[in-house]
Amino acid sequence: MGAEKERQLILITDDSDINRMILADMLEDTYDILEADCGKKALEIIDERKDDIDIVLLDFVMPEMDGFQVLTELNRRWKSMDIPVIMISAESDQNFIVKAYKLGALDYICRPFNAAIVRHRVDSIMKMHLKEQHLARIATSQIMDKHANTHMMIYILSSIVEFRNGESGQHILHVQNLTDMLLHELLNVTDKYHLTDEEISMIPTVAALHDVGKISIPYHILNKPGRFTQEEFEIMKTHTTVGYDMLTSVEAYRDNPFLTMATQVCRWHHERYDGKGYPDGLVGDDIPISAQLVSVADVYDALTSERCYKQAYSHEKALDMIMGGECGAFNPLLLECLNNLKDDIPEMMNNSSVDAIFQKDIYRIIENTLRAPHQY
Amino acid sequence: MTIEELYAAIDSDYNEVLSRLINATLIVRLVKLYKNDANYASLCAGMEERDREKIFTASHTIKGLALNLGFKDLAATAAELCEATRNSYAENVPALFEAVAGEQKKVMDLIDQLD
Repeated sequence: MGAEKERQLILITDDSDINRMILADMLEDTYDILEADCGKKALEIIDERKDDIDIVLLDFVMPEMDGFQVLTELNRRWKSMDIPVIMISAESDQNFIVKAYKLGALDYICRPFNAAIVRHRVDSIMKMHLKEQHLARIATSQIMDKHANTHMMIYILSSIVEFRNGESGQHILHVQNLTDMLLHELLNVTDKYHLTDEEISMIPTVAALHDVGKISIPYHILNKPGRFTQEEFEIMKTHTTVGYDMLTSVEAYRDNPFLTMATQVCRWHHERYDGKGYPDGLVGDDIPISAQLVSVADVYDALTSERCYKQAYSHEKALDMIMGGECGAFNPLLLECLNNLKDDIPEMMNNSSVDAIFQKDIYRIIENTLRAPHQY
Repeated sequence: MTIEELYAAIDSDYNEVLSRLINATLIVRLVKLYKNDANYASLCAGMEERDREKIFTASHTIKGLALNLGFKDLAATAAELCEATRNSYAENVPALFEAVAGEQKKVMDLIDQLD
């Protein structure tokens, strides 16, 4: 979804160069034209330029990959693809046309081509498409404004706590980013958690608040270089319940889903899957999945970062320790996700920035917002 | 031979084509391009190999091209061959192919005579 441009771009897909020339001749005075001589080539071009292409004209009977296969593949690759497809064919069988509509084609132009009809059909669909894009752009900018402020406030608040802990704010970004990656891998691996789009977009954001209760931990304990005494450890553990109490005491936002999720993450991100964690000793999936995700991300980042009491472990060593059960007991599904992601994590950690997280979140929101009207 | 004469010689209506495609220069260019179109060769190969799908695809494309270019009889014969190979290989496929071949030859010979 690029900025508004002067001339729109149409991709003509037809295996016959004569047919492509006819269509190009009818359209090129108003539109820029791209041509593909087979279905495979069309997919390649769309892959590369899906943000620029405004309409795809698609022939149906083509050797190797026909128009139906192209449509099916488009649906598979981009659930929210919003490039209108107009099919073109000499086909007069109505079942054929209905099948194409079901696969998402918006219109059907029959051969022989008539310049006036082709122009009118293409112009109408283009008008609709541009109007929709324009509305989406307005909605997007409003969503961006709203979420930018939320992100900023959460980041500032959680960073204040981090700074007191001698951290630079990177820990929050890492935990957010890794939580986000684990969450999306989890959605690939299983559908057992029934998360709504809203919850999916909230989890990485609330992850930032997991340690907000540390604001109450005395400075000398928080930054102690050596091992904790039993008494100090008991105090340290209270950061979970204090964070929970802080957030649940915000009367004005009681029952707010975002805040509710944040309280869960604060309280239960040190629980263990085997029930030996704190503060409540919850077992298995009694621990909300949001808190389980943050817990894995938090432990990984703690291991791979230098702290006042320890050196940083390597990525490989940290994974071994987590997988080997040296740093707690985790949901086997989350360990599977962590293992699936192992090659991508180091790069992600190096690229963690507020903007990157914010952008990912915004793109997801936009995709969800735009997805709905395209389910025919 | 002029383009109008070519269309008259195959009992087709040049003015109908012009009213659809509007651009007269383009029509001459496209008709000349049809001379080199590979679909007829592909159709012949399909016949030789008795490859139903290949015959269907090629005859379907020839039908579309002929409709666009206004080659009335070529479009009609290709359409019949196309239907005869849509789901199965009908008995009369060779005869229908001969009809397409006849129309194709007529068109090709006339294109050679175009100014």
